[in-house]
Amino acid sequence: MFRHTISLFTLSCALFFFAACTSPTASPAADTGMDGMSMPGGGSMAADALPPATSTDGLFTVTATSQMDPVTINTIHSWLLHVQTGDGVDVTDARIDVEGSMPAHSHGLPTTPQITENRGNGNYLLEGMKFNMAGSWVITATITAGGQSDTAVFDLQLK
Amino acid sequence: MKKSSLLTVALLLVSLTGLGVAALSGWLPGASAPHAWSDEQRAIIASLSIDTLPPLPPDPSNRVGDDSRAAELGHALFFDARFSGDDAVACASCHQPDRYFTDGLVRADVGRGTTKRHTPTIVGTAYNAWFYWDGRRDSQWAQALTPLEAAVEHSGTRAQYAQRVAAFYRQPYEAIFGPLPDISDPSAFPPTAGPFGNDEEQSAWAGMSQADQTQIDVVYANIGKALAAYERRILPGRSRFDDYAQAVAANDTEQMNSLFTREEATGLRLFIGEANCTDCHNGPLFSNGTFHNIGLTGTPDEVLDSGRIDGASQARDDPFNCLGDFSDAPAPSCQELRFIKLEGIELRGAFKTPSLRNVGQTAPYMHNGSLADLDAVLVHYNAAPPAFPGHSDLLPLDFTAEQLGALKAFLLTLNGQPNVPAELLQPPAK
Repeated sequence: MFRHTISLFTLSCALFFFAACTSPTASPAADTGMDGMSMPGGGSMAADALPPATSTDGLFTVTATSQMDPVTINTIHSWLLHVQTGDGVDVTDARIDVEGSMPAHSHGLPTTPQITENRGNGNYLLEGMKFNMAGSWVITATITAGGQSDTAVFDLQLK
Repeated sequence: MKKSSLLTVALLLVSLTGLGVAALSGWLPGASAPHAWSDEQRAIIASLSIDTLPPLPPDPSNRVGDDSRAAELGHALFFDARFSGDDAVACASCHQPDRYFTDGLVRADVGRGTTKRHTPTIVGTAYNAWFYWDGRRDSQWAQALTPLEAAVEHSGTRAQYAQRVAAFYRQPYEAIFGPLPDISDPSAFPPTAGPFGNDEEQSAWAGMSQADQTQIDVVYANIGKALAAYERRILPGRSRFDDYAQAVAANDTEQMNSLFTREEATGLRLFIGEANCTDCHNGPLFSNGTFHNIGLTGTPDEVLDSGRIDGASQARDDPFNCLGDFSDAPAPSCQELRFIKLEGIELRGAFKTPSLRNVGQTAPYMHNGSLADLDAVLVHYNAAPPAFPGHSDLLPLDFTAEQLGALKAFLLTLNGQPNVPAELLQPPAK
């Protein structure tokens, strides 16, 4: 009985202090990106938020940068992809197939993005990117070059 | 009483007092602090506010979209029942301004049979990439053309409409679009002819030369562009929620208190939280503009409706789409159409997320009008029945009646009349 009472008391106190910790704050309603830029809420990410992704078998490294900054939901836009071999040499003749999905929702991107331009020096224009929900997205870029194929995966969060 | 029992009572009293103090001072999350929002919540609330709605982007496919003369012509056409096969139906017959440009019916019926789907509003649709519940058109003007030739809607033909422009709107048309073609010879231009008319009308259309058909198509497309120039001006207005969002941004609790009841604030908290409504009903229009299957199987008399999976290919094949001959857009700007998603299980049985602005005044709901009121909508989301065809994006909420009531109370705060000059809400003065 006594032990029970103690735990009830502890729980009540914990609730009290938890409640106190969530009292209103006066900070602004927008998140702040790495560069200090104000980020809109409801589903956004800085254009350069993604670290380079090395493909599964280490054949390629892909850097993805959005041309819309910040990336926000519900707006179609383009990305620039830069592809290098595992040892840092630009891949200038890659075929790149991009797909996206939202694992928590079992659906993909609302569009079918495609590479529309090879800009040389390992740079490729990816058009038709669009996100329609905030949350966790997975973007896969399957690179085929020199007779070899490998997939780089980007995990991103739109907050 | 034993010592331990006394201690129990004492400790309980202390702890309950603590809880009481917390509740009274508004510190308990959710239940007792309706207007306390975390930074993340405040950012989401801000993203839903009409204050974040960007200026209306131009429609590159419609060069007269922002021409006030075209809007004036479109305004007249919108209310003109002569733009129907029997002079009986205008756009405004179903898109009724005093009903937020809807008709209050389950599915539209202008006396020629029932349409397949429920009449959606046109308020704010200028921001959309896709039109119709299945997105089978990619611009306001391409959309506006389609009911004009639908048998259960305006039930006329494009040749007929070109003649009516020549008869009733020649001057304003020519001021905007240049000279009308000479369509006065009935042997070359039958008074009624079109690819979707009755057998006689289709046959008359097939009998026209391709060049003459194109001349008619140009006038027909321009009718749509004028209608779109008018419709572009019908934008959503401010709601009590938007004032509340402003108070949240300013962290003005007093103002929040005066604007929202505890129940409405609880509803908002659920809406952006556990209920996951903002997965799809996001942004200042409360819609992501894309397509989702939410398990609406419809009534037994309905034909199986595959939704977006069919609408996507129809949009791609529409001769009046952004990449078509009648579009004014440079091809690269047709981004949505160029990168349209045509395949995927998630498109099957999927329909466009409707805006929730003014939702309390646009019953019934859903693409098939199958849910009579907001209570029925919330019951549906609470149970999340399985879909057919396709699979449902929903998970059951399993909310209490109190939680559903709060969601409903919040939804009603989105009521707000369209942001439109009053003269555009009625037929133009002669």
